[in-house]
Amino acid sequence: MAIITNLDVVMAQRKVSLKELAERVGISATNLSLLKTGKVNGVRYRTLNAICRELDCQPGDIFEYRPDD
Amino acid sequence: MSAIWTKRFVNFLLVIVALAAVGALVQAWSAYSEGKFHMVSYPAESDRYQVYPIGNWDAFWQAKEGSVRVDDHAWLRAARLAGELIAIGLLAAIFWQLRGFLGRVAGGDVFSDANILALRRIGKLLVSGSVLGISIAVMTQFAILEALPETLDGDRIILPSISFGSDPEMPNIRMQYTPPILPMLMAMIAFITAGAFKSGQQYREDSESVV
Repeated sequence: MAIITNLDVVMAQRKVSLKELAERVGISATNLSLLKTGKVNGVRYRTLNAICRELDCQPGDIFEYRPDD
Repeated sequence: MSAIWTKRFVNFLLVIVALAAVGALVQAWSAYSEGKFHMVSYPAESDRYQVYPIGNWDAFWQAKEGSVRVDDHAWLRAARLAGELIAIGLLAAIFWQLRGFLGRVAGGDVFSDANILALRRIGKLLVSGSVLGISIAVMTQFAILEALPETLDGDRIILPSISFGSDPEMPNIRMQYTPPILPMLMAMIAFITAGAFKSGQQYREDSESVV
């Protein structure tokens, strides 16, 4: 996949645990873990909005595009 | 309708199909016992028929439809019986697939591989049944025509359902046949529904993996 998720990096910088962020965003820890590991097909704007609000970041901080070799 | 009642309804249909199979066998056995198994009859319609007035010319009784019968065709009777039993088996298979499909849908499992497969199987079984019905009709008509002389009573001719060379001046007898339009239409609907369920399944899988 050319889209890389840097959610774990941002979470580590903000010192927020997976469980705590999941509760604040309003999704299950399982789904947030799947998003963190890039095992989802899409992200709702509502979820992205909540993550950016809680982590005080931009969508570009969480997602990165790296072309496939 | 709940899953239990859905299954009960289709179970009832399966019992009717089983009774139809038993009925066909009993009828064949009865004909065999009475020494009539070699007789084969087929519905036919005559161009020349008598009309009888009923009441004060308010209605008419038309002696138009009947059947044409040939004897010494036990093989044809046996082939038709085998075809009938195969058709009943196909119907039972359709109801069995429908039973599983309705049970899964009633249980909340709608857009699944099993349902798509069941719908495709129902479509294929309906097409098979239609082809079988057409084959039996063509075989029977051909065998009856082969057994009869070219003209009957010197001035009548018997024709298959589809014939283009009939003489309009001749009082023809035409063997009847209704094409299986309804089963073919239902097969088409089953295939289209299977396609729709496939799209639904893809949509479900997409939406399930969005957080």
